[in-house]
This record gives sequence, C-alpha cells and structure tokens, in this order.
Amino acid sequence: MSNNSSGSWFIVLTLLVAMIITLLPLPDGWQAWRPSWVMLVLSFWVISIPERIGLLWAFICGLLLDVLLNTSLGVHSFSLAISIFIIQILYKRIRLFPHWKQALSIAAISCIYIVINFWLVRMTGKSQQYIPWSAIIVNGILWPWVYIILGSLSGYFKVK
Amino acid sequence: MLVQLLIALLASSALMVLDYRYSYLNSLRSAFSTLVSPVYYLANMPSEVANWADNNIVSRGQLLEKNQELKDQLMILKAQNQRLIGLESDNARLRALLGSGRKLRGKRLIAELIDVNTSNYAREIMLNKGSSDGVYLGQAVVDSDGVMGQVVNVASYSSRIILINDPKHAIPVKNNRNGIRAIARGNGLNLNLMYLPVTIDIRQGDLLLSSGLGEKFPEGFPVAKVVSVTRENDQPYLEVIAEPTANISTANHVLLLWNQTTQTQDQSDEQ
Repeated sequence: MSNNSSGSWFIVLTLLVAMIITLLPLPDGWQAWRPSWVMLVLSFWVISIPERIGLLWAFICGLLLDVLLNTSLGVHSFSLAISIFIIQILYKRIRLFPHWKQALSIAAISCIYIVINFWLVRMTGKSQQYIPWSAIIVNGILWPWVYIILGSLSGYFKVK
Repeated sequence: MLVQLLIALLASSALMVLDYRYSYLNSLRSAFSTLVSPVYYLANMPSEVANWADNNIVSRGQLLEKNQELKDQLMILKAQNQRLIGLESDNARLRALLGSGRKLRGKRLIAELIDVNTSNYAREIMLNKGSSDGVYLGQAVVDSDGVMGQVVNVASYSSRIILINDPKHAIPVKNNRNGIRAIARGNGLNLNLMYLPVTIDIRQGDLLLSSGLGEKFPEGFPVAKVVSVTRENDQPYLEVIAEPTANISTANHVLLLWNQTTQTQDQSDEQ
C-alpha cells in the first residue's frame, strides 16, 4: 500500500508553489496575462496519475484558492471541479497527443475554467470588468513546459 | 465519477450561497486564512529580498546624506509639533468646555504590507498583523498621508484591508474649507463624491477629511483631494472626482488605529 502511493509530498509541494506564483505581484496592466497555475499543475497530475488525483483534490485546491484570492468560498472549487472532470474524461487521449495539440486542448479547457470563474465571481458580487482572455493563450504556451518539467521531476522523485 | 462531480458542484454551490448570501462561514474562512497565510509570506519573499538589498547595499556617502536629510526633516517636524502641543491643549480645553470627551490619541500599531491584490477581484492589501495583535473587523487603517481603508478579514497573523478606492467601499467625508459633508465612493482608481447638488460650493483642490460619521473612521484624517468638478445643468448631481491623499499604491507600512472605546483600557501600551 505504501509503495502504491509514493511522493505525495511532491504533489502537495507543486500545488503550493503554484499557489505562491498565483499570488506574486504583477503590474496592473499585466493582470490579464496571469496564467491559471493551479489549474495547470492539477491538470498535469490528473493526466499522469488519474487514479490518485481527482475531484477531491480539485475541490480542496479550489477552496484554498478562494481563501487566498478572497472570492466567495466555492467559486474556484466549482470551476476547478468542472475543468478537472473534463480532463478526467479525456486524459487517455490527451496523454497520446503531441505537445502542441495537448497545449491546444488544455487552453480550451482553461477557457471554460476562466469563463465559469468570471461568471461566478460576478455573480457573488465582486467587480471584475472583463474576461482575461489573454490568460488562455498564456496557459496554452505554458502547458508544454509544465508537462515536460513536472514529468521529468515526478520521474526523478518516483511519484506514482 | 459523475456522482463525484455532482457532489463537488453541489457542495461548492452550497458554500457559495452560505458564504455570499448569509456569511455563515466567516469562522471557517478565517481558519483557512490562518492555514494559508504562509503562502502570502512566501509570495512576498522576492520583494522582501529586494527591499533588504536596497536597505543594506548602500554606500557610506548615501547613508550620511540620508541621515542629514532625516535630521533636517526631524527638526522641521519638531518645530511644527511644538505648535501642535499648544493647539492640542487648547483643543482639549475647548472640548471640555463644550462637554464632548473626544480624545485625539488612541492606540496605534505599525503594520507591514505582505501582499497587494489590486488584481482580479478588488483593491485590497494584506497586512502582517492579525487577531493575535488585537486587529478587529472594520478597523481603520491610515498611512502617513491619509486614510487607506479598513479591515475586512482577520486571520491570526494576517489581515485583509479593503482600500478606499475599491468600488465596494464608501467613506463619509467633509470638506475642510467649509465643512460640507459627503460620501466618497471608490471607483477602482479614485473616489467619486456621491449625491452633491449642483449648487453646492466645492472646488478643485479642496481637501476632504474623514467626518467621523458612521463611527468607522476617526474624525479629521485627510482622505482625498478634489481633482475635478463637472457641473452639468441638466443633471441633478455634481460629478466630483477626488484623488486619495494616502500613498495607496506605494505605501510599504501602514498604521492600524484603535477607536476610542478600546483606547481607554489600552492606554498603557500607547507608545
């Protein structure tokens, strides 16, 4: 059993780092370019070890993001749950895609994530004027790097 | 798997409704905030390191120059302060005559910014003081030049401040020149004065002070300076834009103020 689930600390560490980078200060004009780090890292783990990482992780990470970004509790867990569910359905295909096609599908899923997020944030009474479309492009560009770097690191730390 | 999704979505929706509509979850939220507050400190580390380098890697000449500059400034402030002491005792005497027991000094605490969140959802900052230092909900926050905002969220070792230029924030003010009262509401960048009739006397350059009404903010702190007044005769209200006097986007340290009721019992740790 213990052999079956090694490297949990590494998964938690990557998610923590993703949350820290989400909070790094950026100039006002660049805010729309801020990528959805937590969603990218979670997607990677769902694609590489779908039997361990699933909706429960998405839900908890969403709650933590809500607290960090001071949105109503449940906003990010809702949108993360939906996007992670889509990835859970598609992970077998996404694994076999070449990197550029992976990047395109992740960008499409992150688009859903961002739009749902925007919608819920507006509904719970925060003021966000526009949908950060540019973040979707950044997510697509970042995905191959996340995939390759986390892939080799998780191989090195023997995360199963 | 679909069942899991449904459970997750239902749980999130329930949380959203409870949190937004009824704010039942404030204790849960502050517990979570305490749990994740190290993340703020870590995210703030790069700028902290840069600050440290700024402070520590300077030449002796620069330090001497700075020292001289500060000494000059201290001299000027001391001179001004002498006048202030007289005025304060005058003021206290007059207030005593009028029978109003408002005190000018309360407990204060310097706090440091650990995160700025002007990003996605609001104009907010995080401070490194929390309920363990006695910070409470709705507490007023000022910097050296004016009112910054108020506390909206308290964890054990950090707290979240909504700035006065947030679109969801409004503060009661009065004009320093003629005492006209108004409500200044944030618009994301500056403040708008709400519901002033076109005939009212307000000019560009007027200083707005906090009026102390509503009992959130202490009276007499500078809040904003009027930068433009637009009179349109077919509109019932003036359009007045005022710029916050506080260094909203550059301040590194801010001051937390305690109101008068707690001041009497905390007088010992005033200085």
